[in-house]
Amino acid sequence: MKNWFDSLIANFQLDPWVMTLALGFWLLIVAALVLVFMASFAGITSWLERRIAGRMQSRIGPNRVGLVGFWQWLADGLKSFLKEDVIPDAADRTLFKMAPYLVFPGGFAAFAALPWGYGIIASNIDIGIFYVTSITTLVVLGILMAGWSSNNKWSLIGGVRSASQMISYEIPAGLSVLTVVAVSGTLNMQNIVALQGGWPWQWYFFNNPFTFISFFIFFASILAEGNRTPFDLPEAESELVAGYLVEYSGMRFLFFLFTEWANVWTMSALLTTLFLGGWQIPGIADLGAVIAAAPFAVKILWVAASIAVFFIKTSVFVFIVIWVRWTLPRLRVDQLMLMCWKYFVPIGFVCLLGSALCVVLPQTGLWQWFWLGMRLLLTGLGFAIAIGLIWRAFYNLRAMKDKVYIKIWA
Amino acid sequence: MKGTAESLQHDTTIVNMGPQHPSTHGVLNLTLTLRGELIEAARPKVGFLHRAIEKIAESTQYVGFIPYTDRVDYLSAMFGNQGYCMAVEKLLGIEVPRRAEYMRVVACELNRIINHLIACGTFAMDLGAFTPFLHGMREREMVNDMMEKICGARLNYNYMRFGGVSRDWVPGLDKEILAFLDRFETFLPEFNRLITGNEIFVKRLVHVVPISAAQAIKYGLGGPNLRASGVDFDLRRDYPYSVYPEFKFKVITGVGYRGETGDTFSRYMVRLDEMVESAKIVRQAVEGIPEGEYLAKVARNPVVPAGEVYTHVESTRGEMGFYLISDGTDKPFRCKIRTSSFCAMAAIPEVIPGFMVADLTAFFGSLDVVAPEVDR
Amino acid sequence: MTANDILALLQQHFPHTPFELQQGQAGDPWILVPADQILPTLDHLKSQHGFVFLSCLGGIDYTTGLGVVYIIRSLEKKCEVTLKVLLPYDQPEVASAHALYGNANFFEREAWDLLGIRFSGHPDLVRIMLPDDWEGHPLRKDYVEAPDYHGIPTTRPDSHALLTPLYPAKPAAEPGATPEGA
Repeated sequence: MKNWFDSLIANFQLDPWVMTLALGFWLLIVAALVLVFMASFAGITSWLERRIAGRMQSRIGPNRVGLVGFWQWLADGLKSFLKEDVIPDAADRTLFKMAPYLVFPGGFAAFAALPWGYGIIASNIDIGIFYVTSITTLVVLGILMAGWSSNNKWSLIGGVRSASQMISYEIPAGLSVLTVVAVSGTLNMQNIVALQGGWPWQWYFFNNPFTFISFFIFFASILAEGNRTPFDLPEAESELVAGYLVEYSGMRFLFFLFTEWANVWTMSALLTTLFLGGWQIPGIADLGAVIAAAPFAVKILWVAASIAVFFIKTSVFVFIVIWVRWTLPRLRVDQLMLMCWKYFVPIGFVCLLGSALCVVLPQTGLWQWFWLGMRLLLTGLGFAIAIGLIWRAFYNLRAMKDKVYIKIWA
Repeated sequence: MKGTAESLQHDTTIVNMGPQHPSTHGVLNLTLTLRGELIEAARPKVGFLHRAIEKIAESTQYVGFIPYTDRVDYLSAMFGNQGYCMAVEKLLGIEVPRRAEYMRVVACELNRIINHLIACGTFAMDLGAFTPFLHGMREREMVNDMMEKICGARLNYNYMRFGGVSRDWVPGLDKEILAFLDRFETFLPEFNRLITGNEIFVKRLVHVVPISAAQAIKYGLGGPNLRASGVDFDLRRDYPYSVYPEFKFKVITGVGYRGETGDTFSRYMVRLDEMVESAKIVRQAVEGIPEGEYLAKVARNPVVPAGEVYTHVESTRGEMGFYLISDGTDKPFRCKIRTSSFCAMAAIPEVIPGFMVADLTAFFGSLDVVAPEVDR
Repeated sequence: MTANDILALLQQHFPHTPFELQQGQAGDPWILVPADQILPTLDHLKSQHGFVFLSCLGGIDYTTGLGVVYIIRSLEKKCEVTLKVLLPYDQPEVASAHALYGNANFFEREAWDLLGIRFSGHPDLVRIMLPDDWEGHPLRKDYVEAPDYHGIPTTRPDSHALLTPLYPAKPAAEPGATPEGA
């Protein structure tokens, strides 16, 4: 975005301070755009989650406010704005008020570095993925603050659990990221996508067996990062009545929830970028060259196509995250920690070493066919798993011996 | 935090679980002494839902007390009705017509099915799996419609009278019940595929709070809780009442499937299997129901001869007993209601220390305690 | 095993205790046990004859005195027996059975709370159903409520007075007259 801005005003000869002012103004616009983007996505994900949850639970979900209840999230947001602001008497007022303002930017700032399409990224920093994983840990601080300042033993338990969970699962997440970075050699988000290709066997998911395994570890770790079931013990509704959030109401409560839903998008976007080839369109070997060679109108179409591909891949994962939430029970806190430290971390290290080994092995000559064969095999394995899941779903539907209505417009 | 300096020094915290808590099923309080996540002591406090039903019994006529027996445990209301009506019938010395007994059995076993659906569903919900509960509610809705056809109400039935039941079946009801049972056969495998075989679910529940057979007997637990600990005891088979001897059904005892006998998973599995057995009983009852009277010729509000009697029924949670003392008037002299959830609460302080708060949630759900039954 | 058999067993083991088999006009018989002998009786039945399950422990206010009823069951023999203890109003005390049966703990607390029967040896005899600062024992026949509890009135205003404007009394129908609306 900054490059675009620079190229835009390169023609104008202005004083430096006007340039700085214009740059500041431009940054505000971009930040506002990203904020609107993030807030809308958070709201739409909440609507999507409620509809999907309703369907999975043999009920309808929101269907009053709008055609399929689509404006439900706006109605909820409006209601929360108008709610009375309740702060417990014995709570630490400053920390209580500050906690949402630490959690929300933790989720929001990650949106600035996600590659939505070819050239469409708010901030193309060279430490892209490192920035995203570090800025999301700001959420931990906010959660601890929320748990402590509520002056409530249950929220303290929830806050401490959450902090320990999120800090622990940073490690397998980071190791999985490093596994991919070992292959790509760069932390820059757009470059990571550009180095992959459009076809599935060119994605990093199927690059070598170690990135294959680290995909699943990364998926589980970022579920834990986002406090989603099966790792939602900190906000376990039936055990701690929303855990660290229990004293929050109205808009403050929505800040936390917004961050959680926006985090679902961040999770899916990271998965897509690192493992599924981001905005790469299958069949186009070098999107950059195609775009550079095309007339202006077609350029826009190609960029839109890359954004659409990114959206489709991300939406699949959003659906999977929501699906997992409404299917699986939650893990107990010691089982959670055990899984992280005793299973994920060692496997993550092994994957990192293995991936680095695969990078060092020769890639040319006869090895080229070896690697292509290996990647095709892994692609087949991946698709076999996906098809197995879908077949299983249809088997369950058939075994129900009952009429199943799949009317989406209800 | 204000006021907790000394607890930080001693390393234990005292937390109140309830009375407002989503996973204590009803208004109950457990005062926990925690060391980190481990529970060192748990002290149950009950009485938040005490409605003085036993006192009300002394100022209500016999027939007017029947709706109150629904509300002792609203999820297994038919059993309350049956226990109380059996007590009064014993004192009156009247015999219930066979058709009425069959109708009572159908109503009670259907009630057992829908209660276990809620029990297993809310149990899974306490553990974070929100979907199985709603799938169970889907089935429960159909049974509620049938209950409405049977007695006019969906939750608090007020169905049984002294000498039988309040009204006959509408024509076509037996076909409806059989259609539901055919459909129910496919429901349980679906439920099991969704949640019972799930590795996370199983790992949460095996070896969690095992209650040995001796402990279960010591605390007077009943029903699925007692049988899951390995004690082969069922009031329907061992103290035969009503027409249960005419039906063939298995008494499900816990066998330590994937864990040990008496742990939380075992209690859950016993409830699931009991639903199958109840469906079998309902099928046999509906297919074999005789023609006849649905109500013996008894005064609607009888004057009961003086005496004392104790009747018990195998309610969904265990043994529901009615100790009825009559003094020869038209109002009971004393009606003591013995409920299984009350005894289950008594068992908690002994068995829970050493487990975690998350285990307590699972354990409490598996005990299937409902607050109105505890407090009456 | 019937109540008679158990009475015979008890009389054999406790020859000096005046057990009595009683029965009302209808219903089941019970064995009346003197208040100071109930704990040895229960212990004997539990350890020697297998009555390990306490089904019910309830307090009763007979207007002539208080009573405690113990219904114990043997799971192998599939029989149960009702033992009863009668206590005078001025000294309603009996030994606690909590060491023999675990659920007696809660049952006895309930009997204390609602009827004022004291169980000596009970580890924690406090109110269970009612708030800790409640006065009186409600299940007693002569219980009169306090007019309010912490400012909340315990009686409601006369409901007839409230309903009268809505439902004015109709004159009684004469025999033979058709009811209105028929």
